[in-house]
Amino acid sequence: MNLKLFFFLPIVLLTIAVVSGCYSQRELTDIAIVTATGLDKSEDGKYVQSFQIVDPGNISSGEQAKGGGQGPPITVYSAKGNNVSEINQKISKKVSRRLYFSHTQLLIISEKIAREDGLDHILDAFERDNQYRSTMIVVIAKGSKAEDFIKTLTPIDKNSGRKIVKSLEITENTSGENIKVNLKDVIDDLMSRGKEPLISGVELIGSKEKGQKMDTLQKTEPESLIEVDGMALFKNGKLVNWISGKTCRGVSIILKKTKIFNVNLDWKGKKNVIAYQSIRSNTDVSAKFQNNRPVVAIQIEIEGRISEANVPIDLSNPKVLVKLEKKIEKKIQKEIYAAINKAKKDKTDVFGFGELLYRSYPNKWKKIERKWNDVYFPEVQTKVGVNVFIRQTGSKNKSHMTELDS
Amino acid sequence: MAFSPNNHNQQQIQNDQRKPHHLNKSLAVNMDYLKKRIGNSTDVIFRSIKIGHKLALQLTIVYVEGIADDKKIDQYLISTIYNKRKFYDQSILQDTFNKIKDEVSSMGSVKQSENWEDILASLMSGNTIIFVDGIDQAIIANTAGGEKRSIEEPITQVSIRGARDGFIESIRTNTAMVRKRIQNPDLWLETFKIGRTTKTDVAIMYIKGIAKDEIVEEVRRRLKRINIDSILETGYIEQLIEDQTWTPFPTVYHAERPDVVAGNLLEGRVAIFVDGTPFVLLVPAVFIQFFQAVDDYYARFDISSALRFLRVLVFLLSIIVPAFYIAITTFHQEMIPTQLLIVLAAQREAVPFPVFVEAFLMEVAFEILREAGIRLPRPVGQTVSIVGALVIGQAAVQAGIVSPAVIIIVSITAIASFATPSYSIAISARLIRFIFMITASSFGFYGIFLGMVILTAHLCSLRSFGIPYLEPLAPFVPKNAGDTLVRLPLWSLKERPRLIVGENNIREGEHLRPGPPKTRSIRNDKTEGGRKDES
Repeated sequence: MNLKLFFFLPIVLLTIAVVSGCYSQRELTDIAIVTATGLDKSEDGKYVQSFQIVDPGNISSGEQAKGGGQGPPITVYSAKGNNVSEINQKISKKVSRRLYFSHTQLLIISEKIAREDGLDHILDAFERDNQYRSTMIVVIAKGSKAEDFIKTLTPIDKNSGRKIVKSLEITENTSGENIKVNLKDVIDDLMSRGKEPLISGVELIGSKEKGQKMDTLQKTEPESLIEVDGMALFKNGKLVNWISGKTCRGVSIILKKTKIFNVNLDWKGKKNVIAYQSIRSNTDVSAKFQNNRPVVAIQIEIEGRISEANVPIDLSNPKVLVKLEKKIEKKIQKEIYAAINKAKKDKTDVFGFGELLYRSYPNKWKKIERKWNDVYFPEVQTKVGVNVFIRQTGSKNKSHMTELDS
Repeated sequence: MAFSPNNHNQQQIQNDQRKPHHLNKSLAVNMDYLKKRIGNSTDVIFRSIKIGHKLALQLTIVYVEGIADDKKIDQYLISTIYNKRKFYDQSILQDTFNKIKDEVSSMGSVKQSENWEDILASLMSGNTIIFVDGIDQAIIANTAGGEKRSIEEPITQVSIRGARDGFIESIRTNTAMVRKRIQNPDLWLETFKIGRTTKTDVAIMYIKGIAKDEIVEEVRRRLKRINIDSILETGYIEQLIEDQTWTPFPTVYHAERPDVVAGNLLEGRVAIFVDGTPFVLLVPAVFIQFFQAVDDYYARFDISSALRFLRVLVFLLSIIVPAFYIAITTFHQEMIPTQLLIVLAAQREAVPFPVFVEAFLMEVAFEILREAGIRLPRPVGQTVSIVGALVIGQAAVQAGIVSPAVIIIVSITAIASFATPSYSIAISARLIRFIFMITASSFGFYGIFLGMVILTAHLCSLRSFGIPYLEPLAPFVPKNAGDTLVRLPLWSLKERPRLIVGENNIREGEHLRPGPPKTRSIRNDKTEGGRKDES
């Protein structure tokens, strides 16, 4: 190689490296990792956004565990402004580090905003910003302010944002009474005329002041508890009603969000003595026009096992099993109808029946889409078919009571 | 190259006296000259014997103690002449001279010379010179020998399975070890003397018919070009014959094991032996060669392939792991899982340096430790490693100067750099690592990939004796690619490296794949006992 080039090239490269000024470089000690953010509305109609920031100095890690963990693992800052960007600018006056949103897992929106303003006016900032993830989970603060959830200290999972996300994930999988909805899902549903958003709610139980102090972590039973509970029904981007419990489960089954759930059965006059747990389930929804009226057929296949039998019952008898299966089918069918009727009453199609129609009949859909939620959806005819199979009866066939009985 | 008339030693002598090219008839004059020429060096032994009927003719035997075989000289050479001293006829000088020459030739190759340069060169390579008074010629008897180390296990190229012998410092023993493995008249050996002052024996060895003539000729040409006063190790030759100096990568392979040299000769390479070192150079060298260990060929293919792949991967790791850590913690925090990021942030909270400085400090500290540890006597070396482990591992973290994560990164890099079978390529990774750390700290992943692109381009530009360095990956030679990142079953490696070998590139016959007979029929057809359809 040319000797001149040999000395010249490194100088050029070094200059590039130095002069570039390390564009977009961020030291870990210069960023504030925001794990959750909440949006409230103040008395004067402005937005208040609060940020849950991890305080790394108080996170116990490995050897430094002895020294660390003095203060709370999270710190909350909030600022008021007309929109999200304005708040972002104002917050820099209060925080010593640059806020970093790539790890924000949770967006909590207060019920007030959801009811009064709707989601349309606030979500754009989160979608547009390149740091916020579109997989960020969205929940609605039921009853209290979003800020309170951000501030609450939780045991086990030390920051409440992560706690809520994990709780949602588990309840969605194991009971279907909540569903995990992320930013992208919400925006997709908002844009679609054939489906309305459905967002899980969170509720604060106990004293909110005490729940924000470190003392709460010293107790075996925390002073305040965050519980994921219920789902919010939206219409035209605004919250219209809450549903909870079994109704939520019905919705989850139709939306194919849950696989595992329990059904309690009565047997020979005794209430709730047999428990059935599903292992696999599949839902098939189809929509069509019959005589110019939309008809939706829902076919549900459920496989599961008997998880509890507190009565003398012979589960080795196929006839008994068939009888049980029929009972379960009827019960689930009732739940599904209840869920659909609830949505019909609120005139909001959270199941996406409209989208199904659009896929099969794009031209007809165009004509009715504007009136879908108010006119057609409440009138939609639904047929629900449920097929339940008992595949396992657990570790034993007959209950121990059977022997006592005979 | 050989003796050129203009070298320094001769100029010095020229100042002393008129340079005699030829021997004088007088023994006294010759001895005077010789003693002056060698500066009365005390390890040169002069032994005089009187011969002839009246013991009137003097002859002097000269050799250098230590590099000549004392036993051979005493037991055969001197005793032969001494016992027959009275039978020599001193009147017919030339006849006596020839007679002595004949007697001596019973113990080894013998030649005669009248040229001082010849004589001195022979003397210094361990031969014995016999001067006879009145004759202007001398007998040169081959008595080269002296102490040498016994053959031991090689230190730098250890193998689990395979031969245990390693090269030693004697060129003749080394060539013999290879010849023992390739017992074929086509194994050719050429010897040169290189180094104006040291006059070191250098030999090239190749298999005629497998090695490409052009490559052999190129090696010869490059060796002859060397005009240097000394060759003390193969490193001297390597640096003077390599294709490209401005590269961190070695373009000449060196081996300490005869089986490695034999294997490479069979792939068409040329070996360069140098007297006085247990290392043998092999050219042309390709990149992937530095990741091939002998065990790869001795063990079964599945494990060999896995290990070969691991080695290349680990080499890559030893280059980019610190750079990757720097990039991901200063530019791409969004790529770290949240929980891990929080843990890293917690560790870094008290550290006063930016990540780059922190990682750079620790890497430098490690290099210092490594360099200090290599050359120390073993008992002290242990102290260094203990102090190093304590200072780096414990104290630095506890003092809050560096974060534990960086220690882990440095350790991974260190272990990775030791997993490369060839030391010469492992040390090139050491240098490149620092460059990548700098690019990563200014551009993040973009910088790393930019560096990778430049590195790959650089590797592609390298050649070793005309052979592309990345052969057979780039240019891609499918037939030879089976022995690169993986090592396919032996029966599928049918060809020698095409680019290196040339015509004679078929290594194995067809249908080598072992297996049970295909049918149990005992028909006497051609496929009996074997498999027919292997391609």
